Amino acid sequence: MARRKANPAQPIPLEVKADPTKEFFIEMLTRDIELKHAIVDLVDNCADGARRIRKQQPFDGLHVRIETGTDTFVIKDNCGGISEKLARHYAFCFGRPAGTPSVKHSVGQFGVGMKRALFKLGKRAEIESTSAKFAFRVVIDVDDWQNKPEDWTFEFQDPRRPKKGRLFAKGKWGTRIEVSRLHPSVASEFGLENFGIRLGADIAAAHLYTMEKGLKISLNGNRLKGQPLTLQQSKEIKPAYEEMELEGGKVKVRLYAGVSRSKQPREDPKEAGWYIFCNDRLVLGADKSDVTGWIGGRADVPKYHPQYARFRGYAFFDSDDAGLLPWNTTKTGVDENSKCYRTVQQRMMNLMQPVIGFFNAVKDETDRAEEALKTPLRDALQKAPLKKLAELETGDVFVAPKPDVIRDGPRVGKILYKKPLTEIKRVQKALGVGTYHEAGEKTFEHFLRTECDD
Amino acid sequence: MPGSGEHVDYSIRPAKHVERKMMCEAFRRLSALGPVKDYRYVGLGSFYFADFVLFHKSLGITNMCSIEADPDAAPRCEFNRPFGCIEIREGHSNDELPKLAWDAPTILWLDYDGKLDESKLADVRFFCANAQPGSMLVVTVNAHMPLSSKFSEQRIRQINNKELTRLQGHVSGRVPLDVKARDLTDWGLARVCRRIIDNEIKEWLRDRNASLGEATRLRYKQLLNFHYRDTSRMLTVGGLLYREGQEDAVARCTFEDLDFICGDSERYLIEVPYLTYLERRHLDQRRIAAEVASPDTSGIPKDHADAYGKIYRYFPAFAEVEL
Repeated sequence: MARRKANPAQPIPLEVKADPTKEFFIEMLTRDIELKHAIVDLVDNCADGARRIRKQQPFDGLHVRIETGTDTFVIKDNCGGISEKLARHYAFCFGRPAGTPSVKHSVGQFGVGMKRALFKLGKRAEIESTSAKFAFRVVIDVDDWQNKPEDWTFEFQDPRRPKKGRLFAKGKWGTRIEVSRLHPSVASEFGLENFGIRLGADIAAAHLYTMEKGLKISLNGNRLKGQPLTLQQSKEIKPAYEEMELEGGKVKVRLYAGVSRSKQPREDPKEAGWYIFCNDRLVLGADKSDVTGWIGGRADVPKYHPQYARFRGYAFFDSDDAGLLPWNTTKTGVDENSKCYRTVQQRMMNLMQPVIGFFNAVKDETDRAEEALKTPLRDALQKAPLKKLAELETGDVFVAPKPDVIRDGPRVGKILYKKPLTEIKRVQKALGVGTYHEAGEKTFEHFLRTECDD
Repeated sequence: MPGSGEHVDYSIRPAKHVERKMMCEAFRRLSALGPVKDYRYVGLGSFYFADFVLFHKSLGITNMCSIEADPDAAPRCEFNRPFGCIEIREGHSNDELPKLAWDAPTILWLDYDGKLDESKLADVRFFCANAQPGSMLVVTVNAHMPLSSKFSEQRIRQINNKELTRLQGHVSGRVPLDVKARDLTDWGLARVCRRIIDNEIKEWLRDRNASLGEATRLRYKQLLNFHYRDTSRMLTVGGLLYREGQEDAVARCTFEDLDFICGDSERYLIEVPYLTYLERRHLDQRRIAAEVASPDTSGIPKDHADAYGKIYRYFPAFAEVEL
């Protein structure tokens, strides 16, 4: 193939094209986020609306209602609506323009959540909002919009302001988003009850604290409830707690590390690990990877192992400036390169090391349970009640009882063997005992008595 | 751990007996999709093999496989194997199902005696991901909840809460959002378990279908939703896996003609009334001569007679015989 030669006489153009394309936002950005997380992003906006109108006050009376059908998706709240300034200049921008009015302690930060979620869900979106001084409707037909590459605007339909000096009725403040012409894959997910269960669990986990503040969130008519965060605490076991300020005091961090137990009769290792919250929004749950310090190595925190199934750590990053928090744009993880997170990660590892040491000691105790009559660590672990974080009595370091070194009575061992059931039953009958354990013990005692010299 | 075969004689549990015969009648209708004798039957036969005997004798199936999870019971299973055509596989169904060839239509009856958990759902998922069109899946699980009228409200609340916690722990992330502890009362647990199994089937078929063309996509048609109780409350749910292109053949199966067929959450409660042989004979005679509407003076309670009327064709006849 012949190559066209550059003409050295002509000046070299300096301009390099770097315009964004709509395809990038519609087709590429949406690949980086799971459907569930995109919907949780929309709930984040509702939660920020609640913060905007209630500030530090409880969210009682505020709600978010989500309906997922195979034809449409609807999310509706009464969290204050979108103001004219916000709607006209910021809410529909791709990315967060400088000067965007900030909400203290917000969870919306990147200016992509709503648009990304709408594109993720379907081809047509209708956003209706009424705030104190402005009401509007915006209809986005994704195909039409995509076909006008140069036009980066949307249009208000039926924009209204209240009469001078008046406000729209408080009961009407809120936002409703309806997405229709759902992508087939989305409609297919919404058709599965199992998807709804998982979505409900994710929203409930992400917005545990928002719900605790009084925001009622429902999915397809079912009120979501979060599991309160708990740790075990007793006289013998005390979780570790540390707080610090970073970024010149703009970021406050609280860390808890300790032991907990599942609600289930059998310990569920899925619940073990670190839970990281940014402005009360869960961004990483039950993490057992090197991101939260499980790096492995002789002197460090080991890699996760099921013997640590009862470890729980909670890290809370709070800031009025959400931009300083170490979350990624999908709010499904932390930005490990953030200076702030790296500092905190070290502290997390420091706090968890004694807890890991305790679990190792519990394992040792269990391993030698054959010869030790006392199991103080296991006993303490079993006895310590679960308490909500706000009710905990904590220490600078994790406190746990010491392993038992003094043995009461003679050293003991355990004999374990298997025999056919029919034979065991005959022995049980002859001895008049009901359990295999008793059958074993009595036969041993009988043998000792009759066959062994003193 | 000994299986329930150690505690229950499977061959004489009357409701189970009725269920088995009803299922057999439903399976017979699969002939519109292909010869039923060519199906493979896979079950958890214990050492009674009651299902194997019935399906072999009634349907002519010879390709049969029984999975036995209890290693201690394996020799006894081998001893009690009623027909040489039954292959006995020792191991857990989670391990053994993947070892079978899944290239022929199969009737799989996962006749568990325990409650629904992750391991049972794993078998359901395996079937949905691998079974050939025309295959039948039937799942039986223990859905026992005590009779609520026998306990105080407070005690029932405790029992329900405990059961919901157990269920959430054993089928993590699959309990529907609207299910509250009180919904599990009496047969409520069975209803919730059916939903969980149904959801699992739908999700796994959806994923399997994702890469299939229109005519080859698979559908699931629920046919069975039995509630019955010999000792514990039990749920049996099941249905047919078929290709979209097989809809006409499925319609020719005329499953709906059988009054115990349940395509949705509506259940079929198998109630077996206690009747003497003479009473049964009396009711049978009156049924045949239905037009003679003379008053019944037998003294048989009406609810017993009605329950019998629903299942008389499947009613078990047990007798002591000298062999």
